[in-house]
Amino acid sequence: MTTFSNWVKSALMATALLSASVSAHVHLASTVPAQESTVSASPEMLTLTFSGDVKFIKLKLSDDNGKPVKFGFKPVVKAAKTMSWKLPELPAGDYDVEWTVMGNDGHKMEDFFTFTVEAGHNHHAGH
Amino acid sequence: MAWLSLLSIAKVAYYLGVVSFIGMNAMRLFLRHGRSNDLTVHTDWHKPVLRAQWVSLFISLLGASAVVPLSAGMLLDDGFSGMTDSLMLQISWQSSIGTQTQFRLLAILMAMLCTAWGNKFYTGSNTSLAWVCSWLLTSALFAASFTFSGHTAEASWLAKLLVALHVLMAAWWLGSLYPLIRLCRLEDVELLRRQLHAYGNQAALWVGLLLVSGAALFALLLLNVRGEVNTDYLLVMGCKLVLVAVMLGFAAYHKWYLVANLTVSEDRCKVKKSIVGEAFIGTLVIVITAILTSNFGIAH
Repeated sequence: MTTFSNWVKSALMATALLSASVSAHVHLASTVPAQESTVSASPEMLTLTFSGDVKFIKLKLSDDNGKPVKFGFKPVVKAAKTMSWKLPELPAGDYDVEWTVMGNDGHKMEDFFTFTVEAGHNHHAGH
Repeated sequence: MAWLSLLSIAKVAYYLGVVSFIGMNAMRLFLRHGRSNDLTVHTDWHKPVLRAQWVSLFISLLGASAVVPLSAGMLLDDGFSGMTDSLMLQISWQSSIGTQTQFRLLAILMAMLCTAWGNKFYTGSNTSLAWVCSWLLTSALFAASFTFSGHTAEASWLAKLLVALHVLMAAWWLGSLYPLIRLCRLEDVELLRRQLHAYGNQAALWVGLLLVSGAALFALLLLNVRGEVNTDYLLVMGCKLVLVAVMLGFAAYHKWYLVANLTVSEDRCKVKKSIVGEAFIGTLVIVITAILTSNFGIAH
């Protein structure tokens, strides 16, 4: 019995070693502005970085009243890990970023994150 | 969720052609191989099986063609207009889904040519080696088309190989059920018993390979999960395994009880009914597989 269970363990170890990849969907690795962060001035750029190549399908930035902020996003045919968009001057307040991407495996993924622009600093960060 | 359901339906439609092309032709070769002077695969068997194969291939063509527009619609998520949105269609087509669709359409086209070409061998006395090779090549294309997208798209070559083997063996098994149901109309009970007995012995090999490849693939995917395992995936997979166990129960019941006791004409009806039951469960397995691969990832 021990020999059999050792054989099974060895077989499982061997299959694990032979496989080079891991089973997990691509995920959002980092953002600028960072998720749930508070920035002292309106950010110049919105940047999303994923753990693997994705196609950016939808990206919606809206203020705390749910009003969309136009910043020239268009869906992208070519896959990329990171993409950035120049933002207009954002008034102080809370912002939602809703994103939809397609992974290399063909799966659609969507989620959102938030950030806050602090009151009293209505100029682009870094200016 | 509606888009995922439509995609699952399109997948089931595609699977139908794969299963019928691989399994029905395997049954033709099996019957031809075991053919003796006392067996004639008469037109009563040949015609409905051929018709079912053609219908399945056309349904498969519709299913495979629908995947890119459905994916485009799902991406835009703005009603059915997304299905005709040129940018979403372009994104879908230039992804692994598009590559998979190209492969699948090529496989279906080859299957149709192979079926049309094979028609003259189906009822004749000779089988062309070239035709057998084209059947095998098309079957391999069908199997390979399952490795382009979904959970195995970015998996190792070993996982892809296991998926292909699993698909081939499953199609072989499920696709042989309708021809078997038709075979139960054979009036020579002794001949039917011998054929079913030989089939049972052959089936043990591919069902064994099906189970081994499926178990190894599942272990491989589980061992390589990064993060938490998706419990919904495990639940649906559990349902699939229960249904496969029921199918195995049916197969064992046929092999060791019904076929062993097949002596009089009335027994044919019992065998037929039981195979119909097995085919029904097999259809549920196909549906669950489509749902599993469209809706759930093994990892969160």
